[in-house]
Amino acid sequence: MSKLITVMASVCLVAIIGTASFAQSADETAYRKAYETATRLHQEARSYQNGWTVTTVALKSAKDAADKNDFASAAKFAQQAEALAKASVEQSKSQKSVWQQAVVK
Amino acid sequence: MTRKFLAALVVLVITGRGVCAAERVDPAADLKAYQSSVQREFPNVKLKDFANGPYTMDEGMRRQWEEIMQFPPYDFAIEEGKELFATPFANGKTYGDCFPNRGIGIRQNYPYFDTKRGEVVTLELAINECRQANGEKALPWQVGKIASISAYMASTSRGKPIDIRIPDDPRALAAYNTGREYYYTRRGQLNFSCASCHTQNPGKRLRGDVLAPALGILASFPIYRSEWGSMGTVDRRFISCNTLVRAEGLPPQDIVYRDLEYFLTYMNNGVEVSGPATRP
Amino acid sequence: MASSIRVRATSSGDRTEVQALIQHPMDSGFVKDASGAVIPSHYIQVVDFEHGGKIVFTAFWGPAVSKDPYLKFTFQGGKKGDEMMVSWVDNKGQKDTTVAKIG
Repeated sequence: MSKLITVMASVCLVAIIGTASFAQSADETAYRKAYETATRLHQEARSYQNGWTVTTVALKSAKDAADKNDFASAAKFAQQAEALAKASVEQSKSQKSVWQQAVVK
Repeated sequence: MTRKFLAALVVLVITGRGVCAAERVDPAADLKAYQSSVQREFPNVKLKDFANGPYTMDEGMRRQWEEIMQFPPYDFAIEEGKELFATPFANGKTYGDCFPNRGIGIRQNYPYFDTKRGEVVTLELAINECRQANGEKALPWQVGKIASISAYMASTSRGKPIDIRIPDDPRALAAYNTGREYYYTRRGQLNFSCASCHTQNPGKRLRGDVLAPALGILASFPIYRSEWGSMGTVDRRFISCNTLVRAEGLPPQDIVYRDLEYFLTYMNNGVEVSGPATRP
Repeated sequence: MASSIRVRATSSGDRTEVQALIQHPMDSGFVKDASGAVIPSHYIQVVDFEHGGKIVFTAFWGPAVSKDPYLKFTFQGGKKGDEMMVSWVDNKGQKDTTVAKIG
């Protein structure tokens, strides 16, 4: 009986640890994907002289969290950076055709 | 024949709009349109008074400015600049050897389009290139000695109307247009363009500051800003403006910044040089 | 080397108005530089204005006063052509003095 309980306890423990590492892995994957996309879009915005300062800050926060193995936070910051970088590229592209309307005639 | 011509015309009209827009760069027309619109908006302000920026827009600020002008904070920079300007390089040459008229009374012509190199040259760029041509290291941009030398040179041009020329050269027009595009393009997380503040809202407040119109805004550079507690060149102001709207500043003297300075100073043509100056 | 003190004094009637601009970093000791190191405090502690052998005004300054301080005051007495002496000493023991004529 005690042997059965020990085995069950070990299985549960392994399952919990296993699930935990799966969760971390999913966060880490999300972080890496978002970070890579954000970096690429940020560079694209820079080609329009429109890299946002806040994108750089979010990317750094993501990297700092990842370095501490806090992938939950890292993923959150990286996704924020991705949203900011995406917005900065959209702004740059739309402004290309819109700026002329602001010129004083 | 006619059908082919008409077809070509239709294609040109549909696809050629971008090309047509670029071909229609007309700085003189832009200048006339811009300056007359500002003068209509502020009919009681004389052209030369636009060089005083926010102090022409707000009575309270003007009184504070008149107090501070009893002992202009940029005086130390002019003094340092005068001394630096007169000191020869190790090879015996001086700044005067690099500039027309020995560097005295020439600020109103900067920036200019150098047709030999095909790019815009600003006063600060010319100062550092002078140093490098004579075996000296370039000075750091934006602050300190370069601002002092620029301040001294500007002070020798006080009262002279800004006179930026755009030669009949497609590269000069392209530089002007790049500057113009940058000026009117919204950027940064806060989505402001230079025009948002300085063309669309001069005289109004942005938090605690009163906005200056673009007309005259560069005639007073370099400036001593109380906010900085020190002198700063045009680069310093461009970079800080960018950062404030949460866009990354470009490196000092980046070609785009030089083009922007070229466009913006051209828009100030006719305003008398009043640099160096003090600002809040 | 030019003096760090600029003075302008003007007399009208029985009063003299004095203005001075002093070039000094006035570091408070609370500011850090780009590398994170504290910039040590370096500020003027006392400024004296002397006329006719008497101190007419003394300012006791500290770290709260800004860089390149400007000051203005009026005193009774003084006439055009008189000399005024201005001197300051800072917390590092550095000092400067200048003499100016009342206009």
